[in-house]
Amino acid sequence: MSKHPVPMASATASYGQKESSDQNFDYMFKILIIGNSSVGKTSFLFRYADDSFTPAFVSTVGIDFKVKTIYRNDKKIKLQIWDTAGQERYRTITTAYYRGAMGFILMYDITNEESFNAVQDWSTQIKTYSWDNAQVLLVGNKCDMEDERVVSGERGRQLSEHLGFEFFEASAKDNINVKQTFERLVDIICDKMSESLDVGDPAITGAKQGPQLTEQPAPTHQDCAC
Amino acid sequence: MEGDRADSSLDLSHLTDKEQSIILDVLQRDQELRRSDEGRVKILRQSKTDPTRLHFLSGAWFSEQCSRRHRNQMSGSDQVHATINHRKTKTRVADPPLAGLFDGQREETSHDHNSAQAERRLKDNKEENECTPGALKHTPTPRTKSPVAQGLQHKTSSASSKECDRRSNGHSEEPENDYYSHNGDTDSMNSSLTEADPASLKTSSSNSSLHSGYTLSGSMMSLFSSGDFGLVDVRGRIQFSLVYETHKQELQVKVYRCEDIASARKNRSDPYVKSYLLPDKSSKSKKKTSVKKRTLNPVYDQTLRYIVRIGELRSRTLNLSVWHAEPLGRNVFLGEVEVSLDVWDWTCTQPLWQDLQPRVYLDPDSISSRGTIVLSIKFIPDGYQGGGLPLTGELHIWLREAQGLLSNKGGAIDSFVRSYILPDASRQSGQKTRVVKHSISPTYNHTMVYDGFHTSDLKEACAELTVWRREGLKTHVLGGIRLSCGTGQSYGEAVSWMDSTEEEVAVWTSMIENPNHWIDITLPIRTNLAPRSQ
Repeated sequence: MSKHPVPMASATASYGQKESSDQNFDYMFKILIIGNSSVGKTSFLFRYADDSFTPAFVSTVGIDFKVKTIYRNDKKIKLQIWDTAGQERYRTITTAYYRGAMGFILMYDITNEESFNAVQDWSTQIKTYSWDNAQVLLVGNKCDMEDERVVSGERGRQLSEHLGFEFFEASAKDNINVKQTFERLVDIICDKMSESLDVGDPAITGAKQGPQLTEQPAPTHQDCAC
Repeated sequence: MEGDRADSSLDLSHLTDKEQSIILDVLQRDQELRRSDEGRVKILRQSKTDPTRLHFLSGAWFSEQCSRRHRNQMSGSDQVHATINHRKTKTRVADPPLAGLFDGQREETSHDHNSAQAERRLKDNKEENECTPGALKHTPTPRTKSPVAQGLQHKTSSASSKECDRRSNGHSEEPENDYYSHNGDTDSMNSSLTEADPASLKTSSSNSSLHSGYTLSGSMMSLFSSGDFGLVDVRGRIQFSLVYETHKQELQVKVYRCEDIASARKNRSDPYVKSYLLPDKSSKSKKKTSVKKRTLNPVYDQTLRYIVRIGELRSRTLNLSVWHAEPLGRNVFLGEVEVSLDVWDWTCTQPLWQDLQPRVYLDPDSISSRGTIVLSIKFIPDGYQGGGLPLTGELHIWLREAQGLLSNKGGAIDSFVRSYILPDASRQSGQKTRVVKHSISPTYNHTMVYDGFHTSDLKEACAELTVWRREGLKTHVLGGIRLSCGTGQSYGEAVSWMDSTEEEVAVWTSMIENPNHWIDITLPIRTNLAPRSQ
């Protein structure tokens, strides 16, 4: 893990929104973004939650989160998206949050081989600390930087198949596949939620009223458009 | 993950104050969010939403799935916060804006948005916070010898069941929702929102009469469950027998039948019987019979089996409860009996009938003992071993184990024992065992040695052993024992801590009279140690 001295992000400065008071929503989902330091986890979250991007690298201190409320198939879903520090020194903190997460975005940087090689380890961490049914999307970020690409889309796809994750290439900077990534993960979590009642009793399963989001196209292998 | 479960504290010692303060800000925001979500779920539950739907909306589906892997776990934020907070206290860094912020801090949870749990935790915290060092539970009668047979005093008055009814208004029922649960404890997962303050209720005992030597005035089970049990008027009886198979180390609870139980629906119940070997309320301790359909006189003839050492049993209470199985809703409580196994006559293997009791809330303050402590103690006077050794009199306390530790939520806890030889309450006098993790009956096997005693000092001194529960980096005292002559005086001064019970005095006296001999002791961990005044 890189340990370059970097300025620390101040949570209060960057996150000022009033996020907690609204109770008018149907579901609350918790999502965790993990991956090596500087692959762009925070940028990815900022793009999604605030539609903003800044090229400066500010290392996340331990853990942070943002809240975003979205509509999926007439359901109002509040997402609490946890952004984790990639740096090793915060690992004890970040792993403490794995078990509360319903879904994961595991991110690497397509211009950084090391971050790609670490995906397997991150996946093991999820299996170790999370729940049995943890849903994971693998995301190769920075796909706008085609000139500096060292990890091909094909390798990403193969690894994701090997790990049983769905896969996106994305760019927080150019806003490519960011929204799609989160929405796909939300859909998968909805599916898992519906399946959680697999008691085999048709009376029960028939009565379930979880969101049915099955008509959603599942872009399992969606490469970067650029 | 064993390691994961066991390690509830984090090592954050490498973080700077600035980093910690940034993280604490995040935790504060998370706390607000969770509070708000708990509020939302509370409203949902009150709005009579269909249970299946509620299961999704509340997030209970996820909590349940999580609990399959992470039983008894704090949320990430709580864990981190507990750690940081502890460091702050230790290093005396004042942190006023955050003080009191986490009053409602979760005791342990793997699911973040479960208001019932949160409320229960609040209550637990309240109870246990009152029990901090120097503020041991105070009751004015320190010399009571604990288990006083309660005999037939258990009859539930109509007044008390009315009280149950009244309490039930507006409260949701116990989430006996076994159909959603593949692995057990839904009770603790999605139980009700509101919990009556146990202290506000005058309870009669729901203990069974025949063999019960309980001093509890309510069911032990009520400590671990919240919600409403007054939906139906409890009536009827249950027939069971208890057999202990020594060679198999197995307790066999034979459930024969019930008679004349209440109807959960119009003239109908689909009853089953569930058992716990309290204070263990984990899924390991939970056993169930099959469900009998459409009957108020179910015949089971089934045996529920527990592998448990006989020595361990005396610290346990068997809870047998009868429930109506409701596939699409919450199961309905139809009554229970509790049997304190320490006074059970094991030669009696005949089927017995006992009347089912409503679940009566137990006032946690009325618990006189939180388990038993097993130790050996010996005094070696100076020079007693020849050659002038030991140089001064030595007091040896061989702390073996505790049995049936009763915490306020049931189940396994992390615990340790602390010793002082009073009147010396200084740090030098304090010794403690290692923390034994995740156990109801922890084995400490730790010897504490104090020297510098003359035999005459023993009459003025008091060996105080307290059992503590560790949770994250917080500790709470469960109770303890005081071995002394119980004179109320030490070196001519009146002291509060010379409050040993008769049993405790007998142990101490026996030790003084039998120098250099181990005295083996099993004593209740009592909750009424008089506070030591500073």
